[in-house]
Amino acid sequence: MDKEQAFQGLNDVAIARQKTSELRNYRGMGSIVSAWGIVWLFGFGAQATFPSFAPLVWAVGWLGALAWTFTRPPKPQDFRALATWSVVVSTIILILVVTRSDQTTAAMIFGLALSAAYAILGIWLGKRFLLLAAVVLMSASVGWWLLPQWLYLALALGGGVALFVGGVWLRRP
Amino acid sequence: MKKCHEIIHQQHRLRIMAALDSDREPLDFATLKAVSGTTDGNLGAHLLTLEKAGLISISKETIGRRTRTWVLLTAAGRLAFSEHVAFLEDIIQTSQKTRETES
Repeated sequence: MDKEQAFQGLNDVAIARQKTSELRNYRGMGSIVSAWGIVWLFGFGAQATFPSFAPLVWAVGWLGALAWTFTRPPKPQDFRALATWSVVVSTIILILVVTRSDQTTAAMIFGLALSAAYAILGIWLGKRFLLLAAVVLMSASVGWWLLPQWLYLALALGGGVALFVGGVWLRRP
Repeated sequence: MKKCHEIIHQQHRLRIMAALDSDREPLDFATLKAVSGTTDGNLGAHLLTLEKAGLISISKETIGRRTRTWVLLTAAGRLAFSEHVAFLEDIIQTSQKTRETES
C-alpha cells in the first residue's frame, strides 16, 4: 500500500467519524427540539387566542419540556449541562423581568435568542441546526415587521411547527 | 500494534468500521448507510462480509411491522480496526521521515 492509499484511508476514517458524530448529535437533539416546538406552538398559540391562559400554558410547557430534555439519553454527564441550562433559564427570567410591560418585545427577543442558539448549535454540531435557526428568525421577523398584530400566531405556527417538524427531521439519518 | 486488514481496507467497509468504532453503542442500518454512502444492497453485502470475519455482530429488532437492524463492533473488530488505522498512520509517518531525510 502506498502513501496516497494510506492518506485516502485515514481521510475516509475521519469523514466517517465526523459524520457519525453529527448524526448522533441530530438524533440526540431531535426529540428535544420537537418538544420545545410543541411548547412554542401552544404557548404563543395561547397568547394569540386566550391570553389569560397563556402564563399557565407556558409554565406547564416549560416544566414538561425541561423534564423531557433532562431525561433524554444521553443524560448530561457533567456540570456544564446544568450550567448551560442555568444560563438559559436566568436569561429568560431576565428578559421577562425587563420586558414585563411589553409582551410583544419579549416574544420577539425569545425568537431572536432561540434563533441565535440554533445558529451556534449549527456551527458546532451540524448544519441542519442552521436551517432551524433561519426558519425561527424568519417567522419572528415576518411577525415583527410585516404582521405585528399576528406576531404571536407567526411565532406559534412559524416557530413552533417548524421546530416540531425540524425535530422529526433531525432524527432521520 | 500495526497490521493491514484487507477486509477492512475497502473504502465502504473502512467507513462502516470507523463509524462503529466512534461509538460504544450499536448503530442502525440507516445511519450506516448515510455514513458509508452505499446502497441498501451494497451495505448489506459489506455487513455480511464483516460479520463473517467476526468483526461486527448484527441483531434485528421488530418494532410493529418494521424490522430495525442494529450493528455493533465486536472486541476483535475494535482491535482489528485500531491495528489497521495504526498501520495507515505508520505509512504516512514513514513517508514523511523518508522525505525529511532526503531533503
